Amino acid sequence: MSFRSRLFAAVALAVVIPLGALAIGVRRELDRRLTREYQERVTAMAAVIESDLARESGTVGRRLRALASQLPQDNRFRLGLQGDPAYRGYLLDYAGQAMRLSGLALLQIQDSTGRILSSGHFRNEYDRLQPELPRLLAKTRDTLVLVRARTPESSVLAMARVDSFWLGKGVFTVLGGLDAERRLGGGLARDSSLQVTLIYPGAQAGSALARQVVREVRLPYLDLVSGATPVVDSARLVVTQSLGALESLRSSLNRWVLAALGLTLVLALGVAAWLSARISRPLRDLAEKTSLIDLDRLDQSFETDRNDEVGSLSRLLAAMTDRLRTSSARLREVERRAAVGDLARQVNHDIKNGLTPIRNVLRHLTQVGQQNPETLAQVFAARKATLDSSVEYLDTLARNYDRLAPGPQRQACDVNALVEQVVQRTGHDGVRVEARLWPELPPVLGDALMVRRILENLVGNAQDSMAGRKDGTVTVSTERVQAADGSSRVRITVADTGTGMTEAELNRAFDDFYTTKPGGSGLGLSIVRRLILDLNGILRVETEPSTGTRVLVDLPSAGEEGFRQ
Amino acid sequence: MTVALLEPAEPSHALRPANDTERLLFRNLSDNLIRLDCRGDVRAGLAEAWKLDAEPAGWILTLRENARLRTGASISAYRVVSTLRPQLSTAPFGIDSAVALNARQLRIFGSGDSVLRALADPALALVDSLALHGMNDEGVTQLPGTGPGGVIEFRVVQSGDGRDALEAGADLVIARSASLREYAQGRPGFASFPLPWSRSYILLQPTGAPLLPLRGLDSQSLARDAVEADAQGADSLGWLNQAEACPRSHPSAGPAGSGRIVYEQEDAVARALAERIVAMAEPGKGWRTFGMVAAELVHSLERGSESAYVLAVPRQTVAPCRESADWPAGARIRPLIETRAHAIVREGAPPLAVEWDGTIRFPEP
Repeated sequence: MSFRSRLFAAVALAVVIPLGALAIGVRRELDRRLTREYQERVTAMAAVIESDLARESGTVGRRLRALASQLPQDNRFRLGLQGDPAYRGYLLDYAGQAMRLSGLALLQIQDSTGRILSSGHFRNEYDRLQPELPRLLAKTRDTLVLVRARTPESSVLAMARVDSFWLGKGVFTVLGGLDAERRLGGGLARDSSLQVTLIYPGAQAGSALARQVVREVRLPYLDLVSGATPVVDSARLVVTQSLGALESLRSSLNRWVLAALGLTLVLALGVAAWLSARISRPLRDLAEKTSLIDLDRLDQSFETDRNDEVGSLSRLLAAMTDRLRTSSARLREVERRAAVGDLARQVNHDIKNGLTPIRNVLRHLTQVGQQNPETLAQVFAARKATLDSSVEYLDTLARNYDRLAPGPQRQACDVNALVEQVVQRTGHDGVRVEARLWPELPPVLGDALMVRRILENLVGNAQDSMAGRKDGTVTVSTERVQAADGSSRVRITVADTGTGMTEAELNRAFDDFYTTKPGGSGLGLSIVRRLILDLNGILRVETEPSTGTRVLVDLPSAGEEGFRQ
Repeated sequence: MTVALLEPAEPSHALRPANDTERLLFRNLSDNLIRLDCRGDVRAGLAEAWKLDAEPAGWILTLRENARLRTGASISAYRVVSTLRPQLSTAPFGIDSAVALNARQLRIFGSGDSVLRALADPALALVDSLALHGMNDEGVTQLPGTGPGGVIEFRVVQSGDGRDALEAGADLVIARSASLREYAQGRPGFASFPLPWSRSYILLQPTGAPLLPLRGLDSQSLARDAVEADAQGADSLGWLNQAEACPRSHPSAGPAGSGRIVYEQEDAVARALAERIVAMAEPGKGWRTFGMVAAELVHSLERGSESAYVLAVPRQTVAPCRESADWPAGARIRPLIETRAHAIVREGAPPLAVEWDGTIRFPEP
């Protein structure tokens, strides 16, 4: 994850989490308070409804009482009751007129047998018998009853009460009521968010009550419509509070929270980009500059005028680069000096190697001259070749140094011949040097001088490893081998029966200036390794302390074609 | 003389009036060749003489000398024939055709006394279209008088209340309202006269409709208590018996079993009768009343789609099949009551006669 992404995530989380927690908290508190408020309002509304019902009951009761008081005084009504045809119509129309004048929605006058004498809501239901009604209503004389009564078109629902009056020899019942559907439906709800639903048997129940705060007010219910016999039951006035406002508030809050979160994320992205520009980009620039630094390129500038951490880092890198420049100069000087010393020591070493056969021949000639002078000429003739070879070697060496180590000459070299020359040249000093040459050995592609130097160094080291021993043997063998890639190679093996090397000694054997010999330069094997690498050869050492060492050198074969060249 | 009209009148209803005002107005703006008196006897109309001609079967009618419509427009036998022909082709009167023999005589093809009586039907009235469309914006139209009463002015009462018309100076109001009658009787200067029984109310139930529980439904009781009109029980079917034999062109859709007793919503008497029938039914059976506008009622009646209908029909008609043309085939019909209108006349108004069909005439001195 990039620094910018982490920065963005950190800023976003740092703002989003508190904001989300705030939103959840506000919403829960909102829910709690509004729900409590709704409950209080619904409870208050239920109380108001009960109060309204009591008031309506009083209103109906007073109007019925007024009618019941007035009717015995009405002569036309009285004559109508007595069957006078002239007042029959007055009697039938009386309830309708009285109902309209008194603002009632239901009015019915019955005699003591339950016969309907006059009906306001259903004028022509006169003479119909409904004997149960006065009896049922007598039980709820002072209570408002919800009555569903027939009308010609359908039915009327009224909050009704009953009263009675004496006339002549009998008791007459007056049933009257106010329109319940209009008054109880929406009329009682004084707040648009509150809803009052009247539920009675046979009516359709309201929907979604579960989502609303509910209180109920119960009323006795009398059904005069469903059958020939009135049905007594109970009705409910259900007060509900619409949660629409709460839902709307929640939705609004959600929208605002989402908008705030969105804005926060945008701001976080902006802040991250800005911080990245302020922090990440300088660091990336420093990284790019640092990646370009090596010992040959220390010219990068880390100058800065910043005073922050990036500035401090820049100054540290600048100081480090300065130190590297100084150290690099010193190192180059040391290398130069070392190279000169190397060269001098190598020249010394090579000249010594060239002079040693000459010294041996001269010592031999001297010895022959003192002991058998008559054979001096013969011995001289026999050793002349060695002298010539050494002189030629030194001459070649001088030319090579004169060319300041030019690149090796690539030509076919007869390794067996070189091995024979080196073995012959090598002084015996009690150490036997043997050559085991592979017949028809293919030539190698390289510089004969370099191969000879390799052989001389390895044989010399082998001899040195047996210092003080008279029975040691150095064996130089050649053979043809096949490399893993199928190419043909010539292997030169120099094996001795000397002291061998420990693992630690072997690990450092090819290091420059590492030697275990007193007066040794420590460059022999190092030079051998470089020469082999120059000839694209492979060097391998097998050694065991107190047993001896085998050095295996594989050189690429020149093949027949190379040999012809 | 001013005659109050209590409802709006639509000239396009001239041959088929939709309310009492239109029946009164169009009756007085039109003339028939033949008139029927309150007993149903044939009287001279525009035609002063008629005779049965055997070969070919038909009647030869002779118009009055210088025959004129009540509006004063002159009329000839040619115009009578040209006016009647479209009506003859669309209504079942038993008349095949008509032809003018000369300016005063015309021949009606069709035998029997019923053909002659059919010429008295309002649907075969001759209407003066100029007078018909002469009602001004205030709802006033005038009919030139031919007697001592002078001009008869028909005036629509905007409130629709006859009491307002009487207080505004109307000389004649013809109404069926008992309350208006009581008002006039209680006021000095007005006299109320009953007109002949002219309207019957029937209960019609299409075939297959659930039977209404009409046990105990007494027509005399209905007339006395259920309606606010001058009514009497109707026990006789009268021309309704003849209507049963009329061909029906409307296939019955079958009653929907709606439980509704339908009436024409402007007819208070029909509504009261329907309500009384519902009141007599047992609660819980679903019977209820339902008022329909006239056009919708005709459509529903043709299909017979309701459980029952309370209909107002003329007590007498010369064309039973025309009157019952909208009824569904095979319907059960029960007469309920008959009603009559009253003529309320201001004292001091010219002597006049209101015939059974609403025609206002000034007696000859």
